[in-house]
Amino acid sequence: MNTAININSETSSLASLYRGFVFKRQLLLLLLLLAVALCFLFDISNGPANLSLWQVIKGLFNPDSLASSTRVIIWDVRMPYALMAVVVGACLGLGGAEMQTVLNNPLASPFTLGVGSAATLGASVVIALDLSGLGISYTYLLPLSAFVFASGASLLILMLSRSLGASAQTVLLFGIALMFGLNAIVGLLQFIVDAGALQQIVFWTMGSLARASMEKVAIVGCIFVLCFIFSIKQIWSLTALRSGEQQALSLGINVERLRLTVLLRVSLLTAVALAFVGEIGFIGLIGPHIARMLLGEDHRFFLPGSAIAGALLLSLSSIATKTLLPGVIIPVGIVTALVGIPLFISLIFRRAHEQ
Amino acid sequence: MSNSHDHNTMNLSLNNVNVGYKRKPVITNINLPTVIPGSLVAVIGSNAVGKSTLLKSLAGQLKYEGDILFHGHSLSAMTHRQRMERIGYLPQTLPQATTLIAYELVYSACRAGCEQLTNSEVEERIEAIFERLGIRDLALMKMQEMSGGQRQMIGLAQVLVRQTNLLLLDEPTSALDLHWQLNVLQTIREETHANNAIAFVASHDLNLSLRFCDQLLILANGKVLAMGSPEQVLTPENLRNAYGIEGRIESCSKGFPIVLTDRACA
Repeated sequence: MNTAININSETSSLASLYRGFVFKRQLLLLLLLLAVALCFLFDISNGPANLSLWQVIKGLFNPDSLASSTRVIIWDVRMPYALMAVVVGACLGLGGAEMQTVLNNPLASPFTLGVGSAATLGASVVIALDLSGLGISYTYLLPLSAFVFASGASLLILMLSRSLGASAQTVLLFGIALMFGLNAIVGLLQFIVDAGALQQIVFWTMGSLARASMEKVAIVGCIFVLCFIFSIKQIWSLTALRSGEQQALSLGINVERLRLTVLLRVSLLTAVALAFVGEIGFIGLIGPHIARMLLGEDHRFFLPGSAIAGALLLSLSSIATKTLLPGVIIPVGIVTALVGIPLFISLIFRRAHEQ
Repeated sequence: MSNSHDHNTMNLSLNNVNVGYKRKPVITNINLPTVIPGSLVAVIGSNAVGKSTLLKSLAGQLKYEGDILFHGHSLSAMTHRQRMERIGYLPQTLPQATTLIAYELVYSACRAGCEQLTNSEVEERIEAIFERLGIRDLALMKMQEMSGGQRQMIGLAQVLVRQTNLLLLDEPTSALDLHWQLNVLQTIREETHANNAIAFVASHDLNLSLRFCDQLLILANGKVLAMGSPEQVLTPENLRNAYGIEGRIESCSKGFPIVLTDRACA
């Protein structure tokens, strides 16, 4: 390729044309971030005691200027709730995007492949066995157990798609079967535990932001940042994998190891995110699709885009939980399912049309 | 090529190479005379004879027995990075139809495959390869909006942009029309000679191979049936043994040899 580069002066170089694309995507990412910030503020302002956006902004930047009751509502009641929606949404969006890439399956997500159900089972087991005697706080024990179970489910899916060379549909069906199986075991646990544990497990399966605290937000946030840093290290390999497994192999990418590390990361993201809020479906499926439509699949934009889209979706859902029925806070898992299922079905239809 | 004998570390040789899948041997006991730099070698033979298997093992993607020596190093003893620096492999499957744009696909190949390049070096290389292959107008198209042939061109750009010494191209023109077939083989030939590289091109098109390649490697029954210059090895007898066909090699009005096929042997 010693050919001299000879670009006509009147046509700009590909690199500069491409930079136009990059600029547009950076702008879109920024707009998405802005939308998340706006939703976050709305989320805080929304609730039984209605606050204006202006009060919220004042409360965030200059808390002392507000009445102490308002300050408490903003900082102690609504802030953890709203922040939790953002960080959990980001975790699920990122996890879903990475999962779709490594399994080469646009219908994959922690929820649709049963990894979420596995995390639920992991948490339910801890609650059912009443492991509080171990001396480890539930704040750590729940995500840990959820992670172990979620990893197990991810590895099962990985093994299936490796050994059977399974198509996207087969893996999805397997995931759904896994989900039913795991849900049945959770149901069995619900049947045999006492009332207190039952209430906790039910809370889990519904998915709710109501038990958020700043400590939990910090844990989820840290795990997200950690996983995202590792994602960035593999960002080019992931983009290259989108051109095909054979192509990635020929570039010297160790595809098997990439799959394994990514799925473990997705398990961690899912487990930690769901450990504190319970099962929240569809964010990890829809978030990446929005990012893909807006930003394409260069993972430099696709991964952060999916995380931000996930955060935006869950933040919007969180607002919806408070506004759909006046005076009642609906569990957020129910909202995401109600919105997510029609979207999921439309994706299946679109895929069927494409084939 | 004049100085190639002084650089005898730059060549490629195979000794007693065996490759198989799950104990089913595909390639048995292949020995190749040393291939010198600046050679474009067409790998031909019937379906399932082991063309792809040979290329894959040369790419380091399949376990093999025997010796494959490249640059004087045993392929199996090379580190992953050393292999990446030397070997560019184009698989038979086309790049997937995704929402990635072609430029990003080639960019990611550079970034995942040759990490030591600076941004401007990568940009220059990409510019040059799109220009060279004549596919500048595809650069900002999404892969899912392209035809199979166009995606094959992008796949080829992914390989060529890395500027490796050994090119292993598995049917690089299978989805291309006549114009692009000629264009691609011409490009591969020029790149191979200009960079003093070695290229193996698996192909079913005997006339294209005759026209563009320096050497033909004919495989039959997992073994080397013949290897040498096209004129030497493309004989009616070898056609019969490799493909089971009756064929002739004649001269066209411009003096090029062409293969004419008469019928399949009973």
